[in-house]
Amino acid sequence: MKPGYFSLVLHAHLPYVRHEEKHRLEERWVYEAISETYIPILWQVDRLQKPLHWTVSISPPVVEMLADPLVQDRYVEHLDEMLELIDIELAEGRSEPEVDALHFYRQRYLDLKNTFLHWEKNLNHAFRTYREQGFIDMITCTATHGFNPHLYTDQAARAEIRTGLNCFERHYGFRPTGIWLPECAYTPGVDRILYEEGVRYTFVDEHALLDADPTPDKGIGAPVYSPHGVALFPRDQIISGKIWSSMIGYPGHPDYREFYRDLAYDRDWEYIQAFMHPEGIRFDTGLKMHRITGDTDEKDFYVRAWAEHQIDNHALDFAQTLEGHLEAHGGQMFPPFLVTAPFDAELFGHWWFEGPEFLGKVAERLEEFGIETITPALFLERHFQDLETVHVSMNTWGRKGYGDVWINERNEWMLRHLHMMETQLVKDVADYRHKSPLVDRALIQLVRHYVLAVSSDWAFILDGQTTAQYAAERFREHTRLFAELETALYQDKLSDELLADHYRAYPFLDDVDIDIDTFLSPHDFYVTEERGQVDEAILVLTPEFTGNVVGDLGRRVIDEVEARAAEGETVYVLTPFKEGLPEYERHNHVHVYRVRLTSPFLEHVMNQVAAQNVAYVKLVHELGSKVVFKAIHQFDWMTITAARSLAKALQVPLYSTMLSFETTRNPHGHGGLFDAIHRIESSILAEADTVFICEQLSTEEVGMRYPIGDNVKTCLPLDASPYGQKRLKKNTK
Amino acid sequence: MEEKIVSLKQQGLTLKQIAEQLDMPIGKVQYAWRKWRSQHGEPAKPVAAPKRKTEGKKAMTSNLKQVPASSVKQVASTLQHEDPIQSPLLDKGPEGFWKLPDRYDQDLMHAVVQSPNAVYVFWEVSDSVKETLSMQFMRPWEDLPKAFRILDITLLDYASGHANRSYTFELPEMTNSWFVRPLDPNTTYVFEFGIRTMEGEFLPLLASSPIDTPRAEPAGHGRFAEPVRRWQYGEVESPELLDTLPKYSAYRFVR
Repeated sequence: MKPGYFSLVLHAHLPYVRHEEKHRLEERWVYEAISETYIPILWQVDRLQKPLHWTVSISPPVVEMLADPLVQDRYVEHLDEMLELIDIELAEGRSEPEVDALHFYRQRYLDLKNTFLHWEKNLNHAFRTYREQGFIDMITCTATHGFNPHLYTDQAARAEIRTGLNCFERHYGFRPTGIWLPECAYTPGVDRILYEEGVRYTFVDEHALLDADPTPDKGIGAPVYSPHGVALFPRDQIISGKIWSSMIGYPGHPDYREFYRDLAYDRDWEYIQAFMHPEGIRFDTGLKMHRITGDTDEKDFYVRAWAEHQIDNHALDFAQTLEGHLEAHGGQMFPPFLVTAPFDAELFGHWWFEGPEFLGKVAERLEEFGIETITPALFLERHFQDLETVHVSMNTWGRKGYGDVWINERNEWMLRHLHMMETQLVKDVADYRHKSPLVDRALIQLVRHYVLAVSSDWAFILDGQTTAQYAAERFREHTRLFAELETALYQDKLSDELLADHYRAYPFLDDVDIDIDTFLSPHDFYVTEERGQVDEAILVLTPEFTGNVVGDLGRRVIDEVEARAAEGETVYVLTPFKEGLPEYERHNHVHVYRVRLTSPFLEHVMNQVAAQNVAYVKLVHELGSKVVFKAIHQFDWMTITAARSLAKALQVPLYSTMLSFETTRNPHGHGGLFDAIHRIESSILAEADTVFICEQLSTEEVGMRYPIGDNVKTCLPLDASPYGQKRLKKNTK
Repeated sequence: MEEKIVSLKQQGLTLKQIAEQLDMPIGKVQYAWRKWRSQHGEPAKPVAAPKRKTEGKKAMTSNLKQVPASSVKQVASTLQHEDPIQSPLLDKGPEGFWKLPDRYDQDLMHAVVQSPNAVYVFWEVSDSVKETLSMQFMRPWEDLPKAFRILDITLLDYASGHANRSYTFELPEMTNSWFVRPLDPNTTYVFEFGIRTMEGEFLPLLASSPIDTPRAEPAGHGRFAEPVRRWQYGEVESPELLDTLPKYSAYRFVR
């Protein structure tokens, strides 16, 4: 054996395109992948009958579709149709090269059918059997290929990961320690979740390591650990490029089959119609009769023997190239040099028709050359102590290496809705989990709708604009179903029938695959399960409070709050943040939030006050999801606007205490700020249910400077609750 | 044309996208949309706009014993409890069919990386915040000039208010997302949406979480090397590294 290793990883993925209705064009994606990639790869494994150390990643949508009787039966029908078309073609008296190609296809489709039926129409059984025989290793992907760097929450990423592993385990009988990150998209933090979910390795593009911090000593010649201990295996672009690039790689050779020329487009509509879509849409049959030929539109017919000859040549060339590459790095020890070559499986067979045979031949040549092929799992077993730990920033294997494909002007409109679904799921799970078996099933179904919506395929397709309408419709449909089911949950309108309908639309994943607790946060668990009942609270907004008392106002607020608390009221006090004091503290029924301005360095008073009020309003929105405020009591002019806006939004009585006014503090004041404060003060006098003014001020005095009504009162003694006064009046409205 | 714009807007397209699709200047699209909104009630709330406030609460209280109606409590809660509750994602277009909501009446700002030089940011300002500001400045929300600030807070704490550098620019009215570019690789940014006050001061209303742009070249022994080492050898209790997928809590401020 030569020093160094080669690792081949094939990732099989399609979006979940199973539709109950017949003749959806998208289901042909599955047939093509089975006929051109999955079965041909299985043929190679079967032919070689020995441990190949290939790693095959199969995504949950593919697993589920392969296991689906509807898809299975339709695939057999599809094969029969293809055989029928080939027989008709053969009866047409085509030219000799065409007849040769047709005979090749006829045998091939018969073989496909035999293989498919041999595995009782479920190719998961084939992959599972070969894995259990030790011929290949298998891993999986996240539930629906969601693009991790653009998810919002730990929970969504975790649900994608855990659900994917659960689904795979149900079909394959074991839980892999490796996973394929959709689009090889890494983002700091996803490694933490992967590690917590039992995943020990994944794959990234080579610039992930080349630009890692610190720069790894071995470059891309060895995997690294992410900060949370997940091994990242880098794609070697030089070696991979030989294979995937149609420009510099093997697949563009003139003797290989031409992908873009299909028999469907070479025949009259009248003739081919019976094999096309009933609505008159022409699509690829899969009978591609030509070879690439060269840089010309005049394509010659496919000659299978020539293609096979090239496969041999290219397999040999690849083995030699790899040998040279490994020899050039032969000095690397601890660990030895590793070339990782991860690919989309569909590249082999679907895009590059001869790809699966090439892989089989490469396996044979590498053995002859003494080059060891190794799985990442085995590599880690041998060399886990030899890897460096580095920081890897966000990156993908997509166009330009980052997120350009998955967020751009064509698909950005989806993101805010996806994030909304994530946060709604977190809230719904906190609020509803284990309320009843039916409710739990509804939560599971909501997760199912979400994961179907978050598939990276929709953004990818919208980026490419090929079947954009389908992708946009699918996204909208899953979002709509989410919205409708969530509404039924809120309105207590769940039923077995409703859930069955929702499931039937896209019967993806078993309920046992989805763990609703992936969405639960410990804090929400505390709030909903342990904290106790909902508060009905008084909301106090004040510029001064404990730790920040400047004058009479602060003392008055503290005294009033204490008096109300002593009467058993729950009081939430919102007051400005002050350095050195806690942002939150609680004394029995009094919750004090010291709120940071939205910006600490504002120069102008009115802007500081605005920033403070905005911060109050935002905080109350957050609190209002759990705390019921029954009244708002604001102190001083500086909290008036938040109090008014919140009283309106929450529809609760508004109380005000004004110990002084701008005009009493500053009787000869004038100017813009003076006028603005005066106007704000006037607004509370007009809008508050009751305004309490300082004992030293008379209503007449205030009335001389402001328009006042009978809602203006002198402050009550501390032992008298101000909130009892208005309740009857308010209630009769 | 106005109907077309309204229909596209309700399908979730941004004004920019509509302008591109219809091959019109964005100003015209904005004008038409604003005109439509002002004629159909301001702001253009979704039909039966979800009241965020009540959802979670209803969920909880529906399972709790009804508290005996003591005076004040009764006053406060009646309306809050009567609101019909529905998913915030449930919305209907003028034809009565479901459509993606235009907005969720929340205050939020999220940023995701597009590339080492570009970040996508989207945001939303709630009606209550808009109203608070228009009360504060005695001007309708639409008349307050909108602005966007980019803060480079690499190795700084955003809460301190300090930044290595910042850049503020005006935004067109009705904008709710932006591809921020060009940015520098390997830099920690916070983005803020806000208004430009009469004095010319930028008043932020929303801020994104800090976000690192990816590196685009070899780092050598860069700013992450030491934090990674400290974490690796257990010298710190939690990693001093940004985590882009933090655990979210629906009730994070409820204590």
